[in-house]
Amino acid sequence: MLTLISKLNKMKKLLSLPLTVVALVFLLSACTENKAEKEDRQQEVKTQQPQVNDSEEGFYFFLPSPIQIAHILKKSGLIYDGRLVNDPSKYDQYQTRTNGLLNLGVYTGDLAYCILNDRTEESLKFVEAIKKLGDKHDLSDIYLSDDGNLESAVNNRDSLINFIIQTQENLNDYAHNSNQLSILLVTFTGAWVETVYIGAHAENSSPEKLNETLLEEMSILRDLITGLESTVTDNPEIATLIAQLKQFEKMVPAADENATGLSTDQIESLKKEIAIIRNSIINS
Amino acid sequence: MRKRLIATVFTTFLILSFAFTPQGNKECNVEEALKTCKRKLLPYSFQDRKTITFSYGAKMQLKEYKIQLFKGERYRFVFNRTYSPGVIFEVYDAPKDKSPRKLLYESKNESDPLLIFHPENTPYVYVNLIIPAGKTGKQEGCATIMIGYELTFED
Repeated sequence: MLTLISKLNKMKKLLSLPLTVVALVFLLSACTENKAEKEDRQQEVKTQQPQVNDSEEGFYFFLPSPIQIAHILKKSGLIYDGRLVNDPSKYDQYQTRTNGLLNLGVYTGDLAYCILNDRTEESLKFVEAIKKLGDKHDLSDIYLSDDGNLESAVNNRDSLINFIIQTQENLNDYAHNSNQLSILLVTFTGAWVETVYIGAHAENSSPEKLNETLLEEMSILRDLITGLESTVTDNPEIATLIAQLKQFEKMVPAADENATGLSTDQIESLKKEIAIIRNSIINS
Repeated sequence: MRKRLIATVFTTFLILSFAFTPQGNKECNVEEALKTCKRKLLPYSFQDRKTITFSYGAKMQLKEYKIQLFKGERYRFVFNRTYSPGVIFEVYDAPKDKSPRKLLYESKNESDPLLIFHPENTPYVYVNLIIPAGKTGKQEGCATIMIGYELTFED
């Protein structure tokens, strides 16, 4: 019996300190939690309006996709005119990276226009031009299908649409992974300029609807300029383009200013100015 | 005496490791978050996405993103907060500096980390990402916003 009591006493001694530590830790933990909860409650009261954080690099808007803006114009009654697209065989003349990216966008806009008008043969020429231009500017992986075989991937409208959507996704992933968001802005600017150029110059079956759609597409411009300014610095080609786009912006009201369409004069000015910008991109 | 010391140190270590482990913080797996969003986006076509990485700070933070919606088009927004516990998404019809503005969607009462929203037609929407104040010191999180649109043909 005495031996048992002695053993119990030894165990009690052995465990007393750890148990004290356990109790202290729980107590400390509980106090910390209570303090944090109290701070949280105080914070909730104080910060009904959360702190605004505008310091992140990049831009704070979402871009439409080239096929989407072409599709919207097509639905507004745009008729196909093969004379309005850029020449796909000119891909080799775009030497600088900036000009290469802008014209990748232009060709993507042309491809979307051809696809949506069931011009498979013309579409394939643009797919080829896009791939070669992409190769030239180290972007070849973006313009390959999943199995790496471009030719088998694109031979009808559905596969061409998949190609254009997939390449948009690939380009997006590449730009984010390599921290080069400017690629997205520059290529989209090329596609946007080309699509607005075609939209303003092609014949259309529903002029009023197209007029309204063009105004909607023009409202992308402010964000494009802001995005280019925030992501591309020390680039004379982009600086010139931004100056042209700013001049262009002054001509038409933004869609959020309750405008319902463009006047005849505004459309004429738009046609003229967008042609100047577009020609400076494709002929440089 | 030695046994007692070892027992004390071991118990203290065990308790401390449980008491101060950050709760609910998974390391950001951006690739996995994107894959999940892309699956949820279907059958809508990919338009654009943003992955926002951040540190939980002492104060609540707000980030705002503008999205233009074309008239008559249908969109799907996918929000993924798997790697950003406590983050709230809100969608408004006007930017944060305009008043009044209408709240179109909020994730406050949703428990699923993966959320879907179909906006009604309005020229612009503004997604607000609200990051709560951190509780356990420096923790990082990432949230994904992915936008898709419906590409339909009349023929």
